[in-house]
Amino acid sequence: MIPLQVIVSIIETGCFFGLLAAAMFVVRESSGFFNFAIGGYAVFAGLASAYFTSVRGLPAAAGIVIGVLGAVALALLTEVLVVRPMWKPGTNEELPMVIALVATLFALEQISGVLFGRAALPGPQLVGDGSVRLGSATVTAQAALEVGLTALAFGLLLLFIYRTRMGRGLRAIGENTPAAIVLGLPVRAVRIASFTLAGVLAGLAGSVFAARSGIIFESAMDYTLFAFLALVIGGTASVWGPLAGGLILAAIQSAAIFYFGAAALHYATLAAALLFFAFRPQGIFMKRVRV
Amino acid sequence: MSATRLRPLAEPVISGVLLILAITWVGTDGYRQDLAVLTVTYGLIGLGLYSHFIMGDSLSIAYNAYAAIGGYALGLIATRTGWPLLVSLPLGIVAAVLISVLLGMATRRLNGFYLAAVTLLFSEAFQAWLVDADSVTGGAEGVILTRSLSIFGTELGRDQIVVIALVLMWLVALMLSRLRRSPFGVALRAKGQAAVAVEAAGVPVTALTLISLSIGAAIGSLSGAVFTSANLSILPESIPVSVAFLAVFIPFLGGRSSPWGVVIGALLVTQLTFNLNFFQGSGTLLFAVAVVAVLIFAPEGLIGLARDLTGRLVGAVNRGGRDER
Repeated sequence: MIPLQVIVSIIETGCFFGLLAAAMFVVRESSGFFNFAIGGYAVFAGLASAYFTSVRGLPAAAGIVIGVLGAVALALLTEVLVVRPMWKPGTNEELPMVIALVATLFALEQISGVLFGRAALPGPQLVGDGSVRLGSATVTAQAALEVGLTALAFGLLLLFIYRTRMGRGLRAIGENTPAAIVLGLPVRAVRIASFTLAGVLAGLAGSVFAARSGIIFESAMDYTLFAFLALVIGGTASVWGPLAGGLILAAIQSAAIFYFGAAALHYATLAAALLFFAFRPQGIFMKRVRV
Repeated sequence: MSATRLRPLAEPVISGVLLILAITWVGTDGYRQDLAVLTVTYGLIGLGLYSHFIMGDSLSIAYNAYAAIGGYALGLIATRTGWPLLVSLPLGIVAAVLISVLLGMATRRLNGFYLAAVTLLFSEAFQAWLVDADSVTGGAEGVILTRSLSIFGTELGRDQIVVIALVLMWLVALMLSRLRRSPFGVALRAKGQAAVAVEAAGVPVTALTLISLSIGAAIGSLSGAVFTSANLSILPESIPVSVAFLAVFIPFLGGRSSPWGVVIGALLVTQLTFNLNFFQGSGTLLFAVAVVAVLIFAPEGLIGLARDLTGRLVGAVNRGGRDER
């Protein structure tokens, strides 16, 4: 049986993956492709906030704000410089776009390394060392903050996507872009909004969760892969898909490490990916169309 | 002989002259040899990807694994057995091909983002295994070779290995260039454009994909063998997962329309990551930015850019000529 303490850590990691997957989800909803640069935003935000707090001595909150703003700026730059010139809706030519986004991810990783150094940095501590006993497990204030923030972010995302005009436009464009263009929906504005939102979500994930175990520039690719996998496991039919996928992925990884040691992380992730792609490519939350 | 009959000879002759120039430039200079080895390693990885990715459109990128297999085959046979080291080349190729076929079968329904993600996860798992299985691979310390490749009883020095490596890259690029225009290459390229139509025309698409993946894995394994025989050591860090990224970018940087674009791309990568690394690995950053810029502004790569420019030039000259008449 997995100890309660491991389950607490699964929930923390799951929230992190969930936020990253949610960032990928909003872009996917508005534009129909996976933004592989997400991991780059998260690493940049995490390293920027860590750098300004631990090296420059700024307060933690200021560091996090800088990190999130940086991530939003990078997301908008991706939209303007990469997606806009390359994006051709309604065609099957997605490969150059995949490569461009992977190259962007690689560039963001290297930019973070050049700007903030290649050593791991401790993340900004927003809350103190306080903790609560919960049965046999200890819940730190940091963990409570992370879970609370994730709940808040998903609540707001839910309201945005299902209750606002912009959110409805976002879903409509993701569903059928050529039709949305014909109907005169503000495709560009919605896409910019979705990239901003992705920047906020990835930036929060990167900078707030960096306090758990520090952050290093090389994690960008892992973040992207885990976000992508969480989204594939969860499915894209509901806002809860990314969160559920993130929690499941975190559970698979933690259980593998708990039973088989650290190297099992990568084996289990690969196995989970192959299994889900083979048997449940639509994810857990899928759209059912009745005919 | 007429000009049209000489035409097929142009490619091997021109590239062969460039190859001889490259070999004489490298000579016995240690630094230039390092550059040449790195270029050939990147070049062969890029050429491996050429067969299934650029022609067949399947983005399977576990190249660090194939290269590591080729390298470790050499290292393990040198340290654990008394066999001649040349045996390790076919063994490495067979192992890499087997892995690529298994991976290709497991991912045969995936494409685009999905295939790229799963093969990257495989790359990471393989890398973790190399460190983890230290009874087989020597763990994080890797393998230090105690002897070098030998042909007919004479052990090859670094000078000869560098020359062989450059010739090898030339041969592989030439063969891929021929393959591209062969019936197999045409079928493969058609599959990349419209898999359903190719299947309907009676060509088994899965077999086509698996064969192209095997060709790529074999070439990737050779790149690891070149790297290991030139440096006489192989460890997990010498072929990091980021090699998989480089492999994808190289053909796009040089130009996708010909395997020679891969060679140009490999030269550029070596130049950027090895020579311009003056500030905290900023060469890698420059390289990544260059790839993004090339993808946006010159989707056909540097070869395409050159072709475009010469096309315009020739057009301008022709127009000028017509005006005079």
